[in-house]
Amino acid sequence: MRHDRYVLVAAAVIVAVVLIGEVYVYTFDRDSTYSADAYLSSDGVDYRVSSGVSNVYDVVVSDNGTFPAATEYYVYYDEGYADILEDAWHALGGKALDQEYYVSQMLHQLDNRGIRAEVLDATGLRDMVLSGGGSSKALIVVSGAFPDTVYSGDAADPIVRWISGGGSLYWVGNLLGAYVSSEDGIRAVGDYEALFFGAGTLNGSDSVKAYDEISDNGYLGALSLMSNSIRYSLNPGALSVPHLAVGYSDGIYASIVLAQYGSGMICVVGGDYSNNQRADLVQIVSAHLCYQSVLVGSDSGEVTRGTESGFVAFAADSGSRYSVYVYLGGFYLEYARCFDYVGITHT
Amino acid sequence: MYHWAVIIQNIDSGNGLYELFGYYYTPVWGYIMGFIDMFSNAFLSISELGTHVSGLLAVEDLENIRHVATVTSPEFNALIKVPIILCDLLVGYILYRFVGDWTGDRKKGELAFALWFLCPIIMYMSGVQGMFDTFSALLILLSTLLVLKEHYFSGGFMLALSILLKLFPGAVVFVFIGVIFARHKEDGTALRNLALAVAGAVLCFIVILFPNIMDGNIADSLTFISDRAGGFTLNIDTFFSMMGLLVAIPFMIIMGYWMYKAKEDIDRRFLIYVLLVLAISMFINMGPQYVIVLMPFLVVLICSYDRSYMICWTLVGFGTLLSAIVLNNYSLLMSSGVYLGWPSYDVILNGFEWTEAYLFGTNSFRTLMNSVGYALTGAGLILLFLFHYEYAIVRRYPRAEKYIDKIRFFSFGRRRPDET
Repeated sequence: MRHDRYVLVAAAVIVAVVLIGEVYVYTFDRDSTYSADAYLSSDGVDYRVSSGVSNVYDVVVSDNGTFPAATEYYVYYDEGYADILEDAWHALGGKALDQEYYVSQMLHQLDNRGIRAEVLDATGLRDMVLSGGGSSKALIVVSGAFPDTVYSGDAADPIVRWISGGGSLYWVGNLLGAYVSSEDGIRAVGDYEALFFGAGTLNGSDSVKAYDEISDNGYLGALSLMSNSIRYSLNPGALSVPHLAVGYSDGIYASIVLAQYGSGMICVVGGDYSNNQRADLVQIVSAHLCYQSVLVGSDSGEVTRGTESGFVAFAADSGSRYSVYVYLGGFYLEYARCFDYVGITHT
Repeated sequence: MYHWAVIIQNIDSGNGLYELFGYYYTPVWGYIMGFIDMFSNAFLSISELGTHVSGLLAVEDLENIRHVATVTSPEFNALIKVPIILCDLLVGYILYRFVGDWTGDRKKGELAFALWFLCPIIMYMSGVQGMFDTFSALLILLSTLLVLKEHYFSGGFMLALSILLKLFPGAVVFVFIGVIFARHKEDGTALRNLALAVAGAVLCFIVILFPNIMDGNIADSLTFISDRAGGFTLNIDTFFSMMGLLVAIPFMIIMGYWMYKAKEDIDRRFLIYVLLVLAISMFINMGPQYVIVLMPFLVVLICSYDRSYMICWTLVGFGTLLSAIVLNNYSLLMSSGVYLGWPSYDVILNGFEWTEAYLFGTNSFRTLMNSVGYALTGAGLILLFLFHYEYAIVRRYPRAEKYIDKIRFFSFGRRRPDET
């Protein structure tokens, strides 16, 4: 027995490590570990960040002009409807990045950022856009094609009217408006560019990656954006409407472009499916960025098993809408919350 | 290291192991990372896991290997690598104790520690690349020693744990069954002891997979296997894997049968057979880090029985090191480049460029050196079998003896093994 002891002790130690780790993995509670608060005054934002672990944190303050932040979030996904997506690369051993998995991942990532989104099928999407109230709603479509319940390629289609009436559309997966999907398959739309932002605005070329940082507005670093894919994306220079380009650019197309469409907004996130693209998409949605957004202040720091507070100074305008986005983890984001204000009044 | 940071991120965002992308293995390594994360969260202040570097975006476009421009911080690298190195030390200590007791010579125990801890592929995988295969080696070593010492319940538990960490230890199942019957067929307790081992294994599966069972995502924990099987296309790699499988599985069964039939020298045969079935499993899917699982048994063999096997240790240790280094090449310098300022991004990107550039056909420096590494590794593994079955080979092909002796000449010992 004496000669066995070191084996038994070593076995007990490694089993204990595994079991303790197992319990920790499945009992870690995000909402009791982290919290964030922000208080806007006329001369800036007081913020407070708490963490039960050790994190870097970032505070991003945007002046969103007159554009209202969404309060309802919807994701379109209908497994019975066709999509038109390129097969995405995924790590060997990982799950294939198809639309179902992409959507499920996105929902978790939005949840980490305090956003509960509702998944709509083609019928549910039609009902939602016909119900109006677009200015308080955000819709994420990652199928590369609108379903035939809301879109046929006509300016009078429900989805087009919903966006121009104030809705916010976040688009991923293919050329905006180029395809209509149904349960039977995909149908191409003729002059789809003219329906939205005009000829030559969408990237249908072979140029798929950009390497130049869009640094003038500061959002690339402030929001820890990562994707440099520009396939299907918008050409900001060709847009005749107010817009905001963030991320990376090849000099023509930008990885993420938010542009005015009537009273609403369309945000196109470029590229085929990727994890970086999805991280950027949920970051843009969660930070309540819009085409009018201007980065008026930011701060960052570290918080370790405690609370940190700080102040971001700027002169708040009583007529503007502001968002204060606080996130922990940097590029490895673990928790985020966004606080919206009209003037200095929390909404 | 990027993926380990993603897993820590997922745990610390309350998403467990499988809700978000990033963890592709069965759960055990994730739980070990959970423990590391818990320790870090309780006592350390590693706030930044990594950063995304625009200047390195070009590495994401490399044709053959998927590198990422998100680079982990030195603190995070240390957080992961230190426990892995501690595990190396633990395996080394167990080998030191076991070989010392087994041979009655502490010097041989010290040699065992050195051969394990200073093995090139062990040092590289633990200290440089941060791969966790040393835990796989620890678990299969512990399960083997527990069975050797007739702790069948805990041996079965530990074997299941090692299989749920990585699949390769599953190769020893038939030998484990064989040794229980070989030992206990006379005293009539073989079935009882086998039942104990099975009960230990079943308990382990239930305990480890319990969260997956409750969440209904067992399949997610098996994507490492199902994705490979599901994406099957016939090419040179899958052809060799299929051939390896066709050879390995019958070999594992035969070794189990021979173990069962053994009447004497059972413990020594058990250790050698475990080594041989782990070695044959390497031919199913060869990766530089996988061989770590068999290294403890090779070290035991060298230190306890026959130092001729040093040549296997050398070929496998350095061959896999070569493959691993050329596979990752300049990405190994990215963390240093980003956080310490050396080397510059240009050096890293130019390094990738020349190692990935086609020299002839679609062969690059990386792929060529990788092939050389695999050839050395394969030679080392084949020599294991050649030495072990020397008597049988020489009996059939007498002229082979002088060639085998010449090979032994390059190693430290010239003893021929007893016929087994």
